[in-house]
Amino acid sequence: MSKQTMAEYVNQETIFGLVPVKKSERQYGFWDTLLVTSGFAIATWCYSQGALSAGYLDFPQLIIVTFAMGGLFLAIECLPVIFAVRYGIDLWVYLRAVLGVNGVKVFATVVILGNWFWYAVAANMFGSSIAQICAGFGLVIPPDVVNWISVISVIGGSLIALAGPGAIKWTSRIMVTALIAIGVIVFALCFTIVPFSDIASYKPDLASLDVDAAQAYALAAEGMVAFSFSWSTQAIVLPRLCRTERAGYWGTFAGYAVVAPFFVFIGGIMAIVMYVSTGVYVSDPTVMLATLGPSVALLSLMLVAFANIGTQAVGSYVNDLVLKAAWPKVSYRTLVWLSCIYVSVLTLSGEVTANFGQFISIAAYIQGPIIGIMFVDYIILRRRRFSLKALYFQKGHDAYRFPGGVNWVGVACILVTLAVALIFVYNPITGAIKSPLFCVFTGSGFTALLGGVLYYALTKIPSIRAVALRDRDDLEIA
Amino acid sequence: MAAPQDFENELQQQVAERIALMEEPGYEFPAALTRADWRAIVIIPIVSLCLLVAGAFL
Repeated sequence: MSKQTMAEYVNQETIFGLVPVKKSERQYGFWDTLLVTSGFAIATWCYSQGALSAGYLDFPQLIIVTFAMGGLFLAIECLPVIFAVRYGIDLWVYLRAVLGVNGVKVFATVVILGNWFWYAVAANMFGSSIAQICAGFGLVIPPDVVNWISVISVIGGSLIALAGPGAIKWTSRIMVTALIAIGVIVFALCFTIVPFSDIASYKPDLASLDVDAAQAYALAAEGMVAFSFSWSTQAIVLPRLCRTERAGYWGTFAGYAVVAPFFVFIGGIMAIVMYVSTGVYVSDPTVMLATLGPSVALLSLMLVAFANIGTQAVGSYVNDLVLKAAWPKVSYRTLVWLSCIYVSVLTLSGEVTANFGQFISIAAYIQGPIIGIMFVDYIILRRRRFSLKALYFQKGHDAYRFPGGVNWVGVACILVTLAVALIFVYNPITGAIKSPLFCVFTGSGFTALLGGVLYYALTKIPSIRAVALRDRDDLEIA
Repeated sequence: MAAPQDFENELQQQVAERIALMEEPGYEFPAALTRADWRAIVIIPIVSLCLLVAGAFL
């Protein structure tokens, strides 16, 4: 694809991502939605997530936290799928009503900066898998060099993203195949190495973590809340192409709340099996693969390496299209390279992987209040009806125009929520639990709850309510 | 590379065309969720919450 054609294509893709999708453009039923969503969701970081949970939970708790947290939050997070299918619009377009058009630009950017944390984990896993392959041949690579090798996957993925949609399509096919193959290998390994009774009777070593049982349960729950929240701002892209609300909602829900957690569960089992069979708790899936399955280590580690380049490529394409929609004056190529530099720095530092639980909570803290506010605004305040024309600022439809392009009611709810959660509940930057509230709500769960409650309370004030509901006489398309 | 102004103009044109299409009298929106779907959307989080509470006491 030539440079000019690629630029034009990106513009078309960005425009298509912003405009309402017509009925004739809808292609997906339930199974299409489920398969594509699952392909996007089952990256290798699922195994890191599972290992994190297994460090805090016994086997029955691992099952409950892994699957029930998705059932609790994704059922709510997926509600925007309803308007995404009905009107063919993305979440970020709808959020213009809640945050203002410039508020959306800022928060879309911040959310994506947080999302890139996950890609640094994938890149570090690429480096780790190469190091494990080399170690298998007797070549020991120093940790600093491993970090530089990790950056190769970021650059490689970014180059694929720059190559355009054809390359992305093929990368996706290879990546999903590799990820499913890894899942099958890991699943087979886990249930053949140690007896199931040993897995079922596993108890985590909480004394070494300096937390009690309630805090351990809440920390694992916090991890799964963060995992569930991480999809919230990207999950609504695909359902715009669905033919029915039912196909869109349940396909999306099943992909993120059932299939992705299943791979997290496999990661958790792998960590338990590693602990039971070696007595050492390890959170790096590549080390576990090399240790638990030497006969398939080379194949599985190569699959991990390829899958992580693919994850970076698809992530770069999707996230930079969102950024392009927020900042149309910046070229797609520039955004890809800026993202590449940012993820490379995160990868080189190794901090995200070393403090995985904390970093994913930081990302979830930004998304949590938005989820809570969205629920209150869409379901309770607007009762699932809003002005499509006002969302696109059509002439004479100004219900969602705010001074300076910012709806300070929504933005204030997010900022106050973040401050309260950081000071009084849980600080993901330091990993410090600030109060017993953390054991009830988790930190990220608290941000969703408080964000929603604050927004509800503020929109009960008559003057604010009047501004929020200026769209009531502009509901022509319903 | 298309200029930002071209991008904005094309975007606005596409939006206007699509909204006009949706306003046409015969335009059919996708089939909505049913009452059973809404029941499941309410029940799944409640059951999940109960399981999470029970899990804390295991």
